[in-house]
Amino acid sequence: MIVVPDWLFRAAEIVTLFVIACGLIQILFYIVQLLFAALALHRRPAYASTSALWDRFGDIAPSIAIVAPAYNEELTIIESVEALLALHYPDFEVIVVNDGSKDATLQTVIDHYSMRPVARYHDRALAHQPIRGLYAAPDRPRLFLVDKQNGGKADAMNAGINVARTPLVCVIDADTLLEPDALMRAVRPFIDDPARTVAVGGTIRIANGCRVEGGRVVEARLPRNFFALMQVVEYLRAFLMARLGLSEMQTLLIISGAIGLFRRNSVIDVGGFSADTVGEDMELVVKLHRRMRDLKRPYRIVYIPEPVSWTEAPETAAILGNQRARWQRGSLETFRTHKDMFLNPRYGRIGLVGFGQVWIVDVIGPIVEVAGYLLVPPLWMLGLISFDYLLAFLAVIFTFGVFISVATLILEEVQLRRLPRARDLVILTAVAVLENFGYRQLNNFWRLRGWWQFLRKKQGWGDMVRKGFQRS
Amino acid sequence: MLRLIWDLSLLLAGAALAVMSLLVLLRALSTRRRDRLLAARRRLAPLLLDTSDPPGEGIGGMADSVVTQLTLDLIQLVRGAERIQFIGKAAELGVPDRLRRQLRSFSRRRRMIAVQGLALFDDALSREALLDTLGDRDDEIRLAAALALGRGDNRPGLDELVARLGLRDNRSSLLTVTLFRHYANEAPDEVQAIVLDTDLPLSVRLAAIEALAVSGDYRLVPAIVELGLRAPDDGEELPRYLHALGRIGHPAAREAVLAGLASNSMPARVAAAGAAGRIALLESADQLAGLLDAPEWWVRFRSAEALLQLGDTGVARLREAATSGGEAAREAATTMLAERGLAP
Repeated sequence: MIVVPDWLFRAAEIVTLFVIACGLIQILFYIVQLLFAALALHRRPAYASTSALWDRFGDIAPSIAIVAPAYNEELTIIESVEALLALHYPDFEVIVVNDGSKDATLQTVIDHYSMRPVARYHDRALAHQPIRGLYAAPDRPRLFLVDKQNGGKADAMNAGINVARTPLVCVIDADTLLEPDALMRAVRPFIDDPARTVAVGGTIRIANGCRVEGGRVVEARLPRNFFALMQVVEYLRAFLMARLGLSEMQTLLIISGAIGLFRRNSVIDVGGFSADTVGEDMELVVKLHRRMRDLKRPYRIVYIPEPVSWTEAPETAAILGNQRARWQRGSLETFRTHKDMFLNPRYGRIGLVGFGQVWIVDVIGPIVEVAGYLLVPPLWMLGLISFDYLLAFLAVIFTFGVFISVATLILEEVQLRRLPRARDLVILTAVAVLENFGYRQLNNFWRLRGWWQFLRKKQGWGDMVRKGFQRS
Repeated sequence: MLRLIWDLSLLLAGAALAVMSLLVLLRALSTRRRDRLLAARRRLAPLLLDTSDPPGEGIGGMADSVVTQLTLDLIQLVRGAERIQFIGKAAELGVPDRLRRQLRSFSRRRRMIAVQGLALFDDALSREALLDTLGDRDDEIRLAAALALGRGDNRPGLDELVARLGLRDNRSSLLTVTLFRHYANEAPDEVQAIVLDTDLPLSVRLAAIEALAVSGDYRLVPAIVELGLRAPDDGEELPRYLHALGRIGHPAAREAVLAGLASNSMPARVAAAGAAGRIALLESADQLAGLLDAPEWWVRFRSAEALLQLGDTGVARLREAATSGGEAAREAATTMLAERGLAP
């Protein structure tokens, strides 16, 4: 019989305890976020209809430039632009930025709207690839087209922001479908607190499976694809719990590139979107925090649950894996760039809570969790740790995971009720349970891949093949 | 301890699943109710739209909430005579009574909807209810009630609203501009009193100035000019004074605008350039031409815009800058002229 030395037992226990402690800290973060999200939802302003919003804000709503970068979007660009032009907002313009598409995106827009080359005096504060041409449509005074050399999404957004002449800019993905009143709702913090608000983020929902007509989601349905269905619960958790909770705590570190409303001058002050990272949306928000804290100015960066944009989620493991690895890389790149803010009292709650959360969830989270899968069960089977250790590990991975996901669904149902049918609730509850057994582990594997790419300094976005919305 | 983690997680997950099951059940029941309400709404809409029937006929038995919601929706969809007609119909159907009762709801959302609904009815009881709502515990609802009262014919005194809304405690919402605008046309003196009340926070006084500027009331111009000339160069108020002077567009703003163009503050120069253009202040042409070389894009852009607004004098300055100005001025002048189709 092999005699196992005491230190090996102790080492096994310490390793397992570390994995459990990291998991518990994450759970604690999530529970606090849930509580703050519930508080925010309870306190959110009550504007029932678009007409009530228009009635109230119509006269004073600041003008907005919507910047929509487009790269190889020839099949969907017209529908997307039509939907943007039909938004309900008193004063806005749509700036489509063709980022050197290799397909006929540029010519499609020019031909469809009979656009002509124009001169437009614009800012050059933000760096980007050269602009090749500016176009306007005589019949569509709200529409403006920028043609530039390819430089990536961040570069294209910087060009659009330079060309904008409005106090607020709304950056979106060209394939994002905005709800008609999304701008009207998103602008509210800028009206309520104009002096302090610098950025507002909105909710993104999964459009796979929904019925889309004329660039609008006319019937919300759950996707049938397994991966898309899993992402519905993930997005609910990410937006309704995490971002809303963090926003309420004033520690929001990311506003998704799919819909974000920014004070233009503030974005220019921090140099716009960084083109050398795949996490440019997170990096911009961190830069805004940093600048405002450095200047000791009161400010607000807010997430509000109402303005909804719809996006097409990846439906295959390969594409989803690439996306998740890229997100992981983006977080790590931002953390590395701004590591001096981590736990730095100079940056207050951003350094302590915001960066603390990024460190525990994004930096060490996937490594510790995968290490837990690889170590804890074998250690128990070898008799190096007791069954109680295994149970505690299972609790932080599985049962607490079920609790967090289902609690987010409860929040959605009690406060927002955006899921149309009771059957959808049942399906999503089942997904909220099942995602912890397989999908979560797969996700962690993809995030580890992101870590590996980060270490190898991989650049670029990888492929994102779009299937297209289900149009009626 | 480790066992406790497991037990606690099981308890929380189990409790969440139990609550979710209950919510699914409630949702199934409420879906049926919602279907019934939607059917009632579909039956009710043609009855309300038909102007020949007296209201109430055929409506018996329908849920109050359906009648209230649908009438409010219809009122918000139309304007003019049709709106007045729908408001009359809603009043006869007892909608204001129900909204007044709804003001006592615990739910903040329901109270807000009631206030927004009551804003449509300008009767004594509704006004009284809205006045009471100025004491609501929620400041959003208090402001909504004030906005509703400000719209009506028998509005309360602005100083009373300012006090009851707690504006003295420095609220900076743009909605205060909307509130003051309701008073700016009918009771400009009351808004002017706010502007001149130095005990009020600056943000509130600036909101009052903006409201008066929109109304085009030029009696305040000398006072705003004085405030502008005295304002600190780097403060947030100077650009807003200049902006207001531009909105009013009275030539008496001359002195403050010319001083603003020479300010060290970028926002102040931007606002002053905008005001110079709106007032068509010809004597600002040289200063504006000089600002075409400013380091900040906004200043160059607004100066070029203002020069275009000055007419021939301004265009001549732009043409001059396009040929003999510094690099930044040349670009600004050339592009702005081309943009307006005035390129040589």
